[in-house]
Amino acid sequence: MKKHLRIFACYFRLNLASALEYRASFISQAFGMALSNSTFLFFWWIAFQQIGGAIAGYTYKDVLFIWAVASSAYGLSHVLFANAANLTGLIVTGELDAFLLQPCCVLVNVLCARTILSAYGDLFYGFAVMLIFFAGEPAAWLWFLYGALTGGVLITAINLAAHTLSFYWGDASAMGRMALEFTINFSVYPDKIYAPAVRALMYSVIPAGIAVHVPLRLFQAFSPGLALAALGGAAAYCAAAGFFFYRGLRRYESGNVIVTRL
Amino acid sequence: MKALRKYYVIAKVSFTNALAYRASVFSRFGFFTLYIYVFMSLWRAIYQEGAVHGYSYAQMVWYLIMTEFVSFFCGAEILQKMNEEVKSGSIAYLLGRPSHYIFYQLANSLGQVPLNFVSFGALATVLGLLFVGPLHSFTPLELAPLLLSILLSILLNFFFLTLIGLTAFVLEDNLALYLIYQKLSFMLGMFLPVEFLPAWLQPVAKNLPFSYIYWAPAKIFVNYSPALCLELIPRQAAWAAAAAAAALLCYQLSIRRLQVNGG
Amino acid sequence: MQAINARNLTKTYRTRVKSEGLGASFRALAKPEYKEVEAVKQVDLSVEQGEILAFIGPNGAGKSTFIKMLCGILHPSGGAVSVLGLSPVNERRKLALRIGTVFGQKSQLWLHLPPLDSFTLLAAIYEIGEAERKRRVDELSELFALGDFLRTPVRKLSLGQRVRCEVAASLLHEPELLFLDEPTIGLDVVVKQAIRELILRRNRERGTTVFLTSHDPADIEHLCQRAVVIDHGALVLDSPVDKLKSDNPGTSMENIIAAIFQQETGRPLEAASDDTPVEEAPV
Repeated sequence: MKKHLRIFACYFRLNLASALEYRASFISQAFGMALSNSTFLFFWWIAFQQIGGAIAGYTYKDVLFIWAVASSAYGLSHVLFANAANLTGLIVTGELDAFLLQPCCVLVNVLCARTILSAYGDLFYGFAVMLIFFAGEPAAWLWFLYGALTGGVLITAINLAAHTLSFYWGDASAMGRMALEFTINFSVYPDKIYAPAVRALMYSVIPAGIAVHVPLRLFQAFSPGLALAALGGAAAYCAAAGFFFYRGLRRYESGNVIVTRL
Repeated sequence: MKALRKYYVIAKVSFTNALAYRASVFSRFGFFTLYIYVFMSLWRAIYQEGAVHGYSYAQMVWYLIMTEFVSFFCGAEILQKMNEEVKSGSIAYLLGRPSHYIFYQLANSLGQVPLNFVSFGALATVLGLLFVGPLHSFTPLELAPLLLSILLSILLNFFFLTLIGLTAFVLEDNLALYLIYQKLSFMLGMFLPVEFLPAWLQPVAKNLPFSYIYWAPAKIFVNYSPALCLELIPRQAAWAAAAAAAALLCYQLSIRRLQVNGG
Repeated sequence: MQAINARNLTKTYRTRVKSEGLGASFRALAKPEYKEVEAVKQVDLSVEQGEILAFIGPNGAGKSTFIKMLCGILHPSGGAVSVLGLSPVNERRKLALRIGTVFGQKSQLWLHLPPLDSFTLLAAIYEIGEAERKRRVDELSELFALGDFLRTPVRKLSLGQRVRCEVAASLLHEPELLFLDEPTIGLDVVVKQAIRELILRRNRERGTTVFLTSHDPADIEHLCQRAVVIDHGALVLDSPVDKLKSDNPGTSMENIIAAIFQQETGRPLEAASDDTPVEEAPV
């Protein structure tokens, strides 16, 4: 455990140092992403100007809150564990070998090995929104941090689960991109706009609801039952994704199927 | 004629290439459907709260289907490709070819249009009919101006992307620039019709090029009138011509710099 | 003690056969067709500790499949293997602590950072303490004459400097067994010779076993005590290098091996056999 924390910290430092080698890229990408996110708040501002009150039960402030949580959660996941979204590439090209040659937990080793520059922009954007709109509300900050952390882990798990399919299918990168796109779209709009069947999806297979909308509910009205259920659900999902990955890895290790085109 | 034929062949090869990537077409179908579903759900929620400015719910959904449809021709792949070619210096080799680099890229992009047009057109129609039913105002009369408007949108977007791609000659990283361009065109037309913007912003938007990528064809589609076409299409054409001229000029300047200073 | 002991080691891939075309894709989805391909066929091989062995064969002969089984990346389909007394598959992490690898073009170093940073990460992964890491880096730096390279981003190093850092990185945890895949490819003669001397020195001073694949006959001649040639997944030659030399006086190592290969398989060594399967990472 201690060893893997050291590896995790080391990867984080090296990724950041790598990013800083290209300072102009790093700053412009992070800043560009934050700016890009803020245009969506402009969209919502216009929508609420037209309608006023609430849309699908969410006020403008509620939308600000889910945007802050979703953006920071996404940012955290792609700052620390960006390789989850790159897993298909590693599997298909055989680059996973290099990680298997090292004497440590494959999952930690793989997930932490890469970062995405623009994700820093997403991460800080959430904090900026909180600072501007929720500065004096400690409860909002508590649930924002809770959501960003659980969401960051959950988004990583979603990426991991989708790309793990590559062990079975050969190339599941489209599936991975699709899963991430679903996650984002489930995170940044009020959950009630979706049909019940779709909403069921966002609290199960692609648990963006647990990551973003549950923290909002908890902020509005705290309920220990809901908090525990959400934490339990998140933990179970992550465990399942990890288990699925190791099952898939066995296929890679024992790999007796290769696809050739004739 | 011979010169034209050259670009026709480039377009044809690109078309066959697009056919070969059927699998990726299927996944793009998935994304298209997802986006339409999300927007439809969102606007249904908004319309449930009250009437919105001049667009009925069905018109709004069809509007979004059209903007999404146009956006699927306006991929950022060209930008990525140009960035790579400039950064790796391989653009210097492409200069030696007997075809103009920018027209080569344009023919390449246009080659992918017919297949996408038919496949996404069919999908978009099915989704629209399924979600909100037929668009009653639609007449076959508007087909010709609409197609022209879409084509101008594609050209306008292409030359903007080329301009951003050319900045790779001077900037270490132009992702931020692309994001700004993308979000301007999203907020000034793709997500929202210009009529929804605050009163002070509307004239600004109408005098900028960004709304003419998505707003113009979608507005013509759901709200056709000959007068509207006469108002919007010439502006689209003017902006597309301006963007093309700017792109070609910047290209010449960058190339001269490259030839003088070396890669 | 034996560093490597393989008995009847076999690897069979199931290759999915798919013809071109959309129709065929759908048929393959419904009812995939498979073909079995033996990449490694019942290979017996033992390597003593402290030996330097050359592992030679044309592309697609089963070289990397064999090495991946030794490292625990691939599970054997048959036979038994033990490396440093451990089972690669069941004790992968334990084994990984004691072996080192330089695999072709795959780098362990971070391109945009100085090698020193990569060494810090490797120290964390290989459970090397802070003080110990400093001592070993100093030692390797002196041995490989790394000096200022250690503080220069890898992308700014020349290929030769990079390979020296790469080999140093794989020695940081003082492995007992070293797998080297084409360590001198693309290097000039002087640097090649320097790398060879470093490997030899490590072998003499610490008794490190070296398992080397190379296309360069000079690597074999200057480094190895023993040459093993594999083709179509089976061994076609296993002989001490000295014996090869004394049996064929006056002939270059390149020609000796080429002649034996021709004699055993009826094909020239250079031309890779077409009918062997591609040896890509299994998917």
